[in-house]
Amino acid sequence: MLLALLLSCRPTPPADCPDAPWVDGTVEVTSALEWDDATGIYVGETSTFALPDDVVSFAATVDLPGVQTAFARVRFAGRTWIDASLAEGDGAWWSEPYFHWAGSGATVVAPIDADSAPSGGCLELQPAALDPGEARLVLTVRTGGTQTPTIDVNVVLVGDTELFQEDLDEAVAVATRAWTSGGGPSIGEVATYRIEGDAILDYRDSTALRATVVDPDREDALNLFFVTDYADASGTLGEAGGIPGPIGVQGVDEAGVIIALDPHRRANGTIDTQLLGEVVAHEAGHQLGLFHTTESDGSRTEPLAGTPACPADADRNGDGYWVASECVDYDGTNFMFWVAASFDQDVVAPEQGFVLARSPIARGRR
Amino acid sequence: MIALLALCAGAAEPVTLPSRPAVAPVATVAVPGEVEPLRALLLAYHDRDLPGRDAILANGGLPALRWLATHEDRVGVRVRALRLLATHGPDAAVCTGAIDDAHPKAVVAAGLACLSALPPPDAAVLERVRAARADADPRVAGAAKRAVERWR
Ligand SMILES: [Zn+2]
Repeated sequence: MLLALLLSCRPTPPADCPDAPWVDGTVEVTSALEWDDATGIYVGETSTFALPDDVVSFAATVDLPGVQTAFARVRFAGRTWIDASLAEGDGAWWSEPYFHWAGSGATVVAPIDADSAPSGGCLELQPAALDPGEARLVLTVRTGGTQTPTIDVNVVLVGDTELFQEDLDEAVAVATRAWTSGGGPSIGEVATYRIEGDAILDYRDSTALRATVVDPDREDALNLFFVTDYADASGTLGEAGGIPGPIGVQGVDEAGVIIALDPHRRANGTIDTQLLGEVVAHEAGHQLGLFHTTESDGSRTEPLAGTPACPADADRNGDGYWVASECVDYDGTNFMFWVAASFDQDVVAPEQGFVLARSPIARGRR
Repeated sequence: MIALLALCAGAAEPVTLPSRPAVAPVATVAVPGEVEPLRALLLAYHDRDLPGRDAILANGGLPALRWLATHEDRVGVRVRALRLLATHGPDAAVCTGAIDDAHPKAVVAAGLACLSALPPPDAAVLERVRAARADADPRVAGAAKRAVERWR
């Protein structure tokens, strides 16, 4: 009788994958990658998971330290979204909406646009890489509500990098104001840490820095690593670990955003906290799966159809660069425009807000 | 095969951030209209989007770049201007002016890199560059070492 009651409480397995494990939270699978003629890369076993009916989103990462990883195949909601065996068309690498390619800590999130919201059912993931090895596939599934979402962040100061509380508070307020203006999440709990390391970061050490395990109790918080500057790319404001980068997992290549503080300073040493907040919102936006609304040459690699684009004739001086002031009537004020501006960039399009609010690391009320 | 994720203990120490001290505002020089278009390009979020030679020439050219390398208040923009100047038309007076100790270290390092794109400077400047090799800031020390190496 008790057994029957227990069994009746379990959800019915999806018909297409009756043996797949239900996932609500984070799971990982290891898989040996072997050469595959069909895709021309090293691929692992396809893992199948059952997504609950109240799934909001998921993020999956292929972790093989120091190696360019990828997904050979991603299938959910009855559609194949990534298929590395295809040279072109839906699912091929570099095709919409994922524009997927190989990189450190390769990650996919769903939704990445309004059409890719996952639904209850089967999720198939096949890890891959450009070199052989034993890869970890890490999957984080979010269920529950989507109202008034928040994203927690781990602020990690590297070495003797200096940041004042008021500067951080003001920057967080700027980022929150921007995100929420488009229906995105606010920044929730902010925890601050310091780790050993070089405050002046060699660019080549970026991947290793992002692979730091910051706080095992706060894996669902977004890691923001603050350095004083890059040693060999001074002037760089910040950099995400991918579009999207690994989220919901730590100790993985590219699992976080790096922000360089000195380029945000004025000559008297104070931080321009408006710019810092916009950079946090922008780079975190990349990490969570958002592309630039318009690229510097006016082109567009952006799956969100509802996001305004800057038209070809906006380059009024014909220099081949579509700057924010030329695009101010379109997306020049959008926080994911390719270049900062002398005016605030705090506009978030509704579809961008949709992706941010449903991020696998956001929390929301029902 | 499938296991709950369990990572080892973190290496990060929780910290409390210090409060911001009061800093006297510094009067900034207004950006001239003819410089603004190039400045707008140097605000790129990512280095890969910085302008090439043609775009610099179409947006005020080297005079605008020199102005930004000399007067720009925002450190990131000034550093980028110095880096681009080193590539597209280093100017001894501008580069030397940037290595003054009164400037932020990032600016000094960029000034040294800018200088290194020129022939060896006079003895007094050369001595300052040599001394900068011992600077505690790795950006400054590294740029000074590379400059001296290049002039050898
Ligand atoms: Zn960007």
